[in-house]
Amino acid sequence: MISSLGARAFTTVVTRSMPGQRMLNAAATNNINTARFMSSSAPDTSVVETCTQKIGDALETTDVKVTGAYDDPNGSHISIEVVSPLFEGKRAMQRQQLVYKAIWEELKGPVHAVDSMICKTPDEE
Amino acid sequence: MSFSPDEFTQETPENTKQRIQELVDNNPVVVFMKGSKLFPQCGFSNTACQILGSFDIDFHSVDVLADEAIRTGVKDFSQWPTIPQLYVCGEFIGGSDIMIEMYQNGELGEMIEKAKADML
Repeated sequence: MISSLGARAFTTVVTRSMPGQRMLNAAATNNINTARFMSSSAPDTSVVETCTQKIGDALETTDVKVTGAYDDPNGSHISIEVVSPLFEGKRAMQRQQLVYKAIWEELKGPVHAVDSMICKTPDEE
Repeated sequence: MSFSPDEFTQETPENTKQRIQELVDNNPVVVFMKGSKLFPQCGFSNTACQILGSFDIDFHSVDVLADEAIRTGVKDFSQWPTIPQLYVCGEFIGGSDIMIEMYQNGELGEMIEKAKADML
């Protein structure tokens, strides 16, 4: 899981989407350490996969699409599209709250922001 | 109630919750955001300010970047993990994309009108 990789992993993951900062980070970081991270085995599941799984379980649906910004599966920004009957009768804020609750832990860690979230019932599709 | 960085005693979560409750009760329109309404420090927070600014009301803004206790506390308080967060007349409305949707369908305008009455 992501959490076992340690703080340096987060730093590298976060700066991946900000090229300017990544250059500064690479210069400041010991190159050997960076290379070690780059060549270590990938996490078992990416952030995108974990979120997709959790949202699908919580909203009782398979119609879930989670995308990392810049197509990064471990991106710190994600976009979410969900279709679930559990949204029936709920206002936009309540629907988003259900999705947020499903990935609460990820939002405390690797995911820094949700750029967009679309929550629909099957009828609204 | 300001929190001096020199103090070694940390504010308890209960106290933070109380502070947030007071902010929400005492201000008809309050947004918890990154930066101040004069200088927003994030695109989503800026959007929230722009929308509220268009109603020409005196809304209150809380800079979570200047208050770490509130930054984490408000997420538990609202059961909402992201910033900005808008409260109107004590009711949690949502974040910037919900504000956009409600602004476009007129719902937000109606709520602001009601809040204006409280401001007089």
